[in-house]
Amino acid sequence: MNINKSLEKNRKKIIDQWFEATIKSYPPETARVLGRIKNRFDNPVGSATQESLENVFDQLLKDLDPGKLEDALDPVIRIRAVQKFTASDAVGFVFELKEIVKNILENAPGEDFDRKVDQVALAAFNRFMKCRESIFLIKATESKKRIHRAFERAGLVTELKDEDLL
Amino acid sequence: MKQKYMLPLTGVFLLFLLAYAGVEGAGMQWFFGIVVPYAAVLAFLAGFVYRVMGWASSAVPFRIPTTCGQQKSLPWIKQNRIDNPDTTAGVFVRMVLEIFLFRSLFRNTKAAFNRNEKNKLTYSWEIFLWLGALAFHYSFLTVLLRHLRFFLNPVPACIKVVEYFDGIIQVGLPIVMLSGFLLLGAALFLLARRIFDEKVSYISLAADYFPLFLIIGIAVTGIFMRYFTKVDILGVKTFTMGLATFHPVIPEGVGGLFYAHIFMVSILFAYIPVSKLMHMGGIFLSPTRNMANNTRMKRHINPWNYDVDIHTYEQYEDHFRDKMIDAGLPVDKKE
Amino acid sequence: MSDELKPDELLDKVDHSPASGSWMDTTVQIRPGIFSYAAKPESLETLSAPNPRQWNPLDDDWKLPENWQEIIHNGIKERLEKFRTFKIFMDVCVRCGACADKCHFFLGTGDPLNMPVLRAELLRSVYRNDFTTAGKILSKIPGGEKLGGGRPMTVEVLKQWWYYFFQCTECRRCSVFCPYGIDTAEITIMGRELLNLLGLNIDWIATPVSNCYQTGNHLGIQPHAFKDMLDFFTEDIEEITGVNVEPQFNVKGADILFITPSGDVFADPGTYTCQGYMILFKYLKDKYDLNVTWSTYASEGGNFGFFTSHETMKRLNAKMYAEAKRLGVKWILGGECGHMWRVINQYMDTMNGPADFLEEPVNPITGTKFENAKSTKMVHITEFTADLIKHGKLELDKSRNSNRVMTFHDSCNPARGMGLLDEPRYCIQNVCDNFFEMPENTIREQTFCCGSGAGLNAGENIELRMAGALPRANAVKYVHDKFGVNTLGTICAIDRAALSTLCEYWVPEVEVYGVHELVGNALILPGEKKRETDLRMEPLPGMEDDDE
Repeated sequence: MNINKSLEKNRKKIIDQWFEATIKSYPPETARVLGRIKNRFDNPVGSATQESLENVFDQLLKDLDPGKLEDALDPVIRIRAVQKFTASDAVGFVFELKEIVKNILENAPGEDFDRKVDQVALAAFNRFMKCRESIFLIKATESKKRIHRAFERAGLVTELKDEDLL
Repeated sequence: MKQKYMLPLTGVFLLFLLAYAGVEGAGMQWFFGIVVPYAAVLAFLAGFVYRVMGWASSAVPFRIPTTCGQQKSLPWIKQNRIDNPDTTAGVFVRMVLEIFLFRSLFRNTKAAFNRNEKNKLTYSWEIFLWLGALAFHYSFLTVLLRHLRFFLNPVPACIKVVEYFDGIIQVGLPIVMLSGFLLLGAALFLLARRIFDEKVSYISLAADYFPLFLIIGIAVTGIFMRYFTKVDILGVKTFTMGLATFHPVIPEGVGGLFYAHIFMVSILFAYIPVSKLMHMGGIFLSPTRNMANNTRMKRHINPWNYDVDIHTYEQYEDHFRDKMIDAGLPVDKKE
Repeated sequence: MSDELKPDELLDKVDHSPASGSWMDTTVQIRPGIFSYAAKPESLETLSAPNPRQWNPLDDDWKLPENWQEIIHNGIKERLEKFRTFKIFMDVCVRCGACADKCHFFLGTGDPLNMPVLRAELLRSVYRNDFTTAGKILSKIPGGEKLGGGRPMTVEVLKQWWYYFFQCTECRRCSVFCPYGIDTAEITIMGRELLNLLGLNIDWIATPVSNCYQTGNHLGIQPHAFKDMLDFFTEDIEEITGVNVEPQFNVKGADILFITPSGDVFADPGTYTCQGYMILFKYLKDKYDLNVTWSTYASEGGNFGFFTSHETMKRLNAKMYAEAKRLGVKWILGGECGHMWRVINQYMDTMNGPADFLEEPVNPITGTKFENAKSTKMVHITEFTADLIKHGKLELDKSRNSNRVMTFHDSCNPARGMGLLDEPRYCIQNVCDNFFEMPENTIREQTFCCGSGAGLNAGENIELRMAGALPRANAVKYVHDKFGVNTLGTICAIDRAALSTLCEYWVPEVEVYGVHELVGNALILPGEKKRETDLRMEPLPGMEDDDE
């Protein structure tokens, strides 16, 4: 059986375990909440994590497209970028997939698969950095944008460019 | 972690043993049957009154109900009279629903029933907190009411009605009273939730486990006496009537199990005023629920309102007068 | 030999799930990105607040007064007598856990101490130890205090208080679900009052408070600059509509005094909402001869005193009635603001009333009596505008907002401290055709906070704010994806600022509008020219090609 087929066959099992492993990065009393509440509005972190993992998994079955991969990772990474994770903890959940797949599939998935997971991790790291950059940008420009734009329109300060705000 | 519930469990077990051994071994019926119950009831009454008076003596400076629906506003906008009451009647209904149906707790579960993407009905586990709480409190109440038969002679009709419905399934001899088993089941459920739900176990204190173990102990001893050891009911009634009429007697043929039961009930009563079990009184006084949202209509008085320093207009104008005049803003003094 | 760990060993050492001990044993780790900067001494001095000094939360030494434990102890004691809420909420919690997952900060940050029940337990544990009979007895037995859930007041506990009471936006969502109505906002308010006794405020609250006290508004804008700003808006509006909407200031004998948060005057996108008010007042002046005046003295509707202490709140709020009395107006109209309205609805009349020098508010144009405001004598502008619209007193051109696909964010305070839910919706639906609600469990009394309220809208705590905003953003994203919503309406000045930022991070396609910005766009002023742009100087729907 080819690797993709057996991955697809075990899709639910793999994703469930991957999800479990991912939310284990939170304190257990938090993980309990994230894993249990099904309503996506009452549990945004759990549902975004679930959604991302499913989409990333489906990407793995195809030829990897870095752009699409990053988009699939976006919801979960965007959240982890503002939580108290170090960079390595924020993207580390990707590597859990290797172990999980090895344990679930009867025949070893091989180096190709490992390389794919590495690519996912790199994409996750890319997205993590973009999110962090956007946080720092917001941090640097927010209040100036708010106040100075109004002042500028009122002619109280000279025209501002985005660079001036930084 | 474990000690949070192991200590209370051990404590309750020791309390049981103390009473059982005290009666069976040392023959201290008078102590566990007479001294302790009277002391406990006294402690309960005095403590309860003391706590409620304590709350009542604190001021209610501001009217700050939590509003959970549309306010009374323009005549054509439909007000939610219960969740955002502006009258005492509305507050009354809100409180009744809160006290008898645990409505806020139910809110937890309102969104709990959902259809998922595949249009399959899903529900959240939280509904069981509400159900468990309802089952627990109502079975407790029923058990309590049923026990009044031991303290009243003749037994009032209303208690017989309660008993009739409690035993309505007509199984077993003596007839199985649902409430006792429901109480035990619900208490076990609430306990399991505290132990196995990481979220709840994290927030739980030893003081949260103790009353649960105590109530479980009371329920178990009660059930044992009724269905298994078949305690001498006449002896028990003689005993309880003695307590109720202030002519306490120690009957023959009532064993240690009964005294252990009475002892644990006494501990529970005495424990109520010094613990979170006071929530039964607190709910009536909670200012976010028992007040009408009508502060804009009717002035609420703060008993300790005091004057404060403010930055007056005069000070303000003195500070900015020139600038105000230059900008063409009206001023009170033109110097 | 080697002291170094091999990579494998290192991995073994990384424990993803922190040991699940008791939360009471955790020590606080104050993290950049989550905490807000400490209050500057100058700001505390303005109101003669205790212990003004330069200090840094990251330092070990917080420069506390020597007898700080005594101050806290006496502070708790005093508040237990003064506030029944406080006393009851300290006593009756059964830790059922219903509130735990209702807090946006817990849902967003995943930090268990952000569960409302534990936020309250931070204070409760000290209360139990020092003020309850059981606690006092147990604390004498070795290890006994843990049995009763008490703990002594230490610097470590104090730091936890400071860290977590400034991670609560006092939004009251948890209180909706509590079977005893325990309101964490009330507990946070008490916690912050106690912290303020030691001079432990944050700068983003203390400085606006100081400014507001001195100059009349949070930003410290002096009277002439305040007027300048509105004059510039007048010019902009004239450019767009051809009508001069010049406002009046500090006018004695006007019909109505209008007070709005200064954010509407000085911060985008609130400034457009402000222009909406100005257009409305001009319309009412021309059509119905209604005289509305602004004030430079009471130029702040918001009240950061509310996030400091009851006393500070009262001192700042006093200006509203004082100014209404001085100007001799009939009643007061309040702009779109969140916590300002909680203060007006639940505190103002009690603190600074009775307002017997004002008249019971009646809309002179429609004759409607605002029965619900007959004592406080202050009316919310969406109540006022909804009444005008209902009676057909406003000429509106909805098509000017037809490029706006709307949803509405209920601000916490008007929703759960007042119940102002349908008035703004009525206004929106009468000036815009495309309106979609967010899911039921994220609006009205169950609305999710913006994550920046109660003085937490600073810059340095951006990670906290973004994490706290996640539940709200998640629902916005849902209606954006499903219905193409591109506009988030709101009636709160902090929301206008905070939601704009949260959208920038979470849902960049959505813009934030105040309700009266939309009203200003739709309202047809007498004698106006054909408008080509909206108040943001963006082309109106159907006018996009006119430039070419």
